Amino acid sequence: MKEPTVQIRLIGDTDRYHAGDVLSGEFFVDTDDPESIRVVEISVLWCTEGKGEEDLDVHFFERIGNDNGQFVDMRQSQPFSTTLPTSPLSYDGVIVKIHWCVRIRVFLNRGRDFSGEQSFWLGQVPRGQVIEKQASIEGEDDSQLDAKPTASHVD
Amino acid sequence: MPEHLPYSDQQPSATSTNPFSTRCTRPGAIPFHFAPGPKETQLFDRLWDMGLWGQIVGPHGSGKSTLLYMLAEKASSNGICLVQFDLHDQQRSMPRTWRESVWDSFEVGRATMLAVDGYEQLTAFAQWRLKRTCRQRQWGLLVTTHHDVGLPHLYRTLTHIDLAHELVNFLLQKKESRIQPNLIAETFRRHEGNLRNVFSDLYDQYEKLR
Repeated sequence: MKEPTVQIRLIGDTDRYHAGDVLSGEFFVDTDDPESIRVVEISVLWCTEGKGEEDLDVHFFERIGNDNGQFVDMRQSQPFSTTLPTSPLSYDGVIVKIHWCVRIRVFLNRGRDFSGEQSFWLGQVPRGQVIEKQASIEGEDDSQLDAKPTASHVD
Repeated sequence: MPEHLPYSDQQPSATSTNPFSTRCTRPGAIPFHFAPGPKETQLFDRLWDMGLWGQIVGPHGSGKSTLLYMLAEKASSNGICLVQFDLHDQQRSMPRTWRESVWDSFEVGRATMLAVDGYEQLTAFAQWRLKRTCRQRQWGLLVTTHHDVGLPHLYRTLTHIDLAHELVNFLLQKKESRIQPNLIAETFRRHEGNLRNVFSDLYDQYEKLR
């Protein structure tokens, strides 16, 4: 028996969106045993990435349960849709990055689970870059140079 | 972390652009690399034989928290009720509601164990009180510490340059030419073997080289 996987597709086949756009998509679970699926959770969320504490919040959440007597065949395409917020926008910075994604988490019987993700980009914030130290200016006072940072991060 | 989130979304996303970011290097994200000697199962057996009491000793950034996380997972999968506390920033006492947290997870017929990361930060009195409570309640106590705190010795963590290369290669996954072995070696020397600081430094260097 093959390992189940989840396939996600964003409608429009784009991964770039603007604030207020409607994000629509569909997913299905590729499995030989659809009755082993107990619950599927659909989340549209953002999370930060960096060196310190990381943050995360869920913008949209929906649960499809097979545990309430109604069987949903997850091998069939399941749609989802949500209007995207105005913030936070995706950002590829140096100190911090903000990622948006659709996450489908599938809970199987006996406590097992797996998930799949489809990332997308919200907004058009330009990428952050490291600014290197400027070359020292001839004749400049050394004590002033020492006081300058060697590099700074723009975020 | 927001408390209202469903459990499944408390975990960070797998989409990542810097392999040295927190999500890639935090305990649990990278496996603990054992030195020659007892491995995970033998270590857990040893902990069990010691009545679920033990200390993991090692310097900063040597993998104590990673090992604690691994053993905590092993304990949970073996039916032990585990409550973990991470102490930070010179935290001198246990969180105010730590006893309630332990009682909330208590289940009849299952052993209970506390895992305390950064135990040496507690005052001597707080350590004594915690040990006494655990002893009276017959709770296990597994801690990480920089020095001997009078608990049965479970494991001593150490770092070395080969381990740094191994972990960086694990994080980079696919062949990455920007982070060369000499850069890893130089960064390891500069941070005197503290792998947490090595990863933090490599995060910055990776960004500069993008």
